[in-house]
Amino acid sequence: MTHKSGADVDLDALGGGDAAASGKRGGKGARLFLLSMAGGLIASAAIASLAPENFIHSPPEFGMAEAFEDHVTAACAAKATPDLLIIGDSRAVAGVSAQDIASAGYSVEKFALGGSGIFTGWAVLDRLVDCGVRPKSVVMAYGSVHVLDTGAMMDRTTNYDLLKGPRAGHAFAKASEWEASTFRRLAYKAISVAGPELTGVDLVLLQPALRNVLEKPPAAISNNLGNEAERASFLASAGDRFYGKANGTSELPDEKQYTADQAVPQVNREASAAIADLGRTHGFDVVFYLLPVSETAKAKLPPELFETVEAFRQELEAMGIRPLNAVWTLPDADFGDPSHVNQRGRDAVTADFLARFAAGQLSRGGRAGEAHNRVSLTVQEGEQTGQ
Amino acid sequence: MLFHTHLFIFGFLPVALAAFFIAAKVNKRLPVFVLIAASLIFYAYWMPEVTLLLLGSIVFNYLAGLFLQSDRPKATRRLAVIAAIAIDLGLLAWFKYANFFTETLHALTGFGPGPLDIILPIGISFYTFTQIAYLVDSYKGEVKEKSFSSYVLFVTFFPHLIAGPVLHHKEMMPQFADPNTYRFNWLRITLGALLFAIGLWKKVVFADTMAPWANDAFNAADAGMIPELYTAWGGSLAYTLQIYFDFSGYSDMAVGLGLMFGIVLPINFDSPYRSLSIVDFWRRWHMTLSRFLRDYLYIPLGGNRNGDVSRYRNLFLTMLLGGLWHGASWLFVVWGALHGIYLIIAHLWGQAGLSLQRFVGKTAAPFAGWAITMFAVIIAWVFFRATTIGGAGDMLGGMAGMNGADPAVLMNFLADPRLWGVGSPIIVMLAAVLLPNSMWMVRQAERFLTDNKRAAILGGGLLTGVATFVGLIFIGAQNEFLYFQF
Repeated sequence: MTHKSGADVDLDALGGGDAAASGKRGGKGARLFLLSMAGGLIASAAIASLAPENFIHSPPEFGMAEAFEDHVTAACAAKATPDLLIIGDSRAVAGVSAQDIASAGYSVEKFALGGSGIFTGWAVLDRLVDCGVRPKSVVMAYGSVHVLDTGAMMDRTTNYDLLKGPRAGHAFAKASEWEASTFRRLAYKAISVAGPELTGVDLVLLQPALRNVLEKPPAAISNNLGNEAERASFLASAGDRFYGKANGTSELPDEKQYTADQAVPQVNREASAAIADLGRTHGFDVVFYLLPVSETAKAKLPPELFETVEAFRQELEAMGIRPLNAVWTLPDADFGDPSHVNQRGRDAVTADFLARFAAGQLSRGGRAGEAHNRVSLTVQEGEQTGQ
Repeated sequence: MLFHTHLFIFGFLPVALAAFFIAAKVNKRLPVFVLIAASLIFYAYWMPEVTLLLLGSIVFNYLAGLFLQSDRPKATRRLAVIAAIAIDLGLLAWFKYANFFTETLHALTGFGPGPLDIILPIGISFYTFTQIAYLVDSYKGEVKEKSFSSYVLFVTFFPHLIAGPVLHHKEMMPQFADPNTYRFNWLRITLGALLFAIGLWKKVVFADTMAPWANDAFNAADAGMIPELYTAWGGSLAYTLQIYFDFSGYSDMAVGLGLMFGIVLPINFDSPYRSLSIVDFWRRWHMTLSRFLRDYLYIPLGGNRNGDVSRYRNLFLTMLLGGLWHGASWLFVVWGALHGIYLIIAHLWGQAGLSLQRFVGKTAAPFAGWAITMFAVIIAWVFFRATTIGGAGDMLGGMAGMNGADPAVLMNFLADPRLWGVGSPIIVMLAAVLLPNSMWMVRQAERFLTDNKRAAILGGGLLTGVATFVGLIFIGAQNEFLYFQF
């Protein structure tokens, strides 16, 4: 423990003294050091980028995203032709049950994922259509939070993970075109040209998870186990999953982050119009289904938020998208957490969806009349607001 | 702006460096103005309006300095230096201590205004002290370099502006006047980058991972929860490590940044947790502040010139005021007083001819000295970290075992996954006590670079690159530098 004590400030150290007089002293070694330092930095970044993300990201989101990717691959390989293809967010994951819809006699492929907004939904649909998937109808199933959500993508790794394959560059180019933030426009443009690996976006998104694992290495093992279990379970459930499992809640959902003057961002309009365009090009109809909020949320959140969502809903028809419903509520008891429904809520939502979808199909002369499990709209009609 | 942000590392720093060296090619003095501009942008990024206060303080002190350097009668200059220092201290007192005084007055008498709405301008303690030293030396006739631009840069130079090291004009102004400073120098750039990387690691990997351990214990104690033995010791040890790596990491980054711009800043830490006595500790901890307090407080108070009683009084007062300098709280005063008492005891011990060797033997003496010193330092840190006297008392009570010992706390600690991480408390503790310090590492690197030892250079560079990557990954915690508040 003994060593030379620095009793006073030493100015001659650290490249002072002689080094100041000669700019060349140590220059060759210094350049080599900086080069190898850069090498170490780049090599570390490469190793981190190539490391199995299953061990790095915490469950359940990453496991769900992996299952989602498996599902995309399988649908593409099968060149699936479902009656219904559902794109949506976490509220659709919890609320619109693919299993129950299948039981009602429809063939269905649900591509909903937490944090995935309308833009991401378009990108996934674009990718699926590109690989040969041909649905008869596409359902855009979103909570009002993703109508209001600013920006093309929420900054979640899973969102960026969805933008893969040969259409990824096209998706990022569109994100750049439709995004409001100048910085993000530039970033998306760069990614569209150079890809997520070279631009380092993957690494940036990996940062918090990587930090967590470096801080708590045993978490890597539990991450892997959790993600694998989630991946298997999410695939097996056809994309149905509950988030909170409470028997009701009166807390406010994610919409609480928004202010009354919140507007629908341009990207959501552009992405919705692009989804409608895909429908026209590839011969499928597109419907929009809004997931419910709790009665407490409806009562306590600024009414302007829901008015904005309603105004957006009314714009959809002109784009060629048929809205199935308006802003509506379910009792607090039907929510497992502030934003997502529980089993009781799911039953209500899925029944409502099936009934509305079938009614819409009937009115358009579609095949919905073949569905076995039609549900009366009467109950839900009474709970709707804005109608 | 903070050093440990991606904006600083990937945005501000490269742009500032490029502008600095391009300016150096254009004109000899231009880099000074580039650095001043960069420093003001760096400072204003936090709160533009307080930049005016900084600039006002600089102009005032520079003009006061010119007056003090003039041929006017000594009595006039003496009056002027007292007035100028009083104005500086008055400004500091208003921004930093006004609430402390009014709250104390209110607590004692029940009268006086409530809390005042005053924003503490970041770095005010540092730039006030720096300039007071300049005034005193101007009065003594010890100022040689009088260029205004050099003076502005001396005060504002962004690596030291907001949390030190506390600079002395004598070590800075000649560097600003030297054309060699602005010459591109691979060695300095490299050593600066190495030191910055080490500092970044110390701050984000070591200090920031210690913070939650310390915060949990101290916040609970301050909120009235009584900590038991393991919680109290765990929290105190975590804070002991956090504050060292936080501040020494910041200082390393500051010195490293200075070096990249060709400026050699003074060293601030020299492995203080390896000190074998409290006197030794104060030679190694926040060395530039200790130097300032010695030269501009302890010695003017009389130093050791008037006998032992006066010497100990001066020592105690210096440490007391040094404590108060850290913040407007009685807890900082207690911290300073404790260190004053420690130093007096240490000096009395030495004067009495006592030695630890006599009590524990030659081999054990250094370990005993280290253990006693660390124990004293840790006890004092409790007052430094706690936000209430009650919280500090409860922590000390817990450390003394007065609140019992819960083995479950220890078991939880041993089962905590963070124990296996790169910022594990065990690794951090061993690094503080056993590893060579950053200055030693940089000096070794300098030797290898100048001797062109290729294997060492390649290995060292690679390791630094990996460490920098980990440091960059760890950026993101919301912890500011602890010393910003001082």
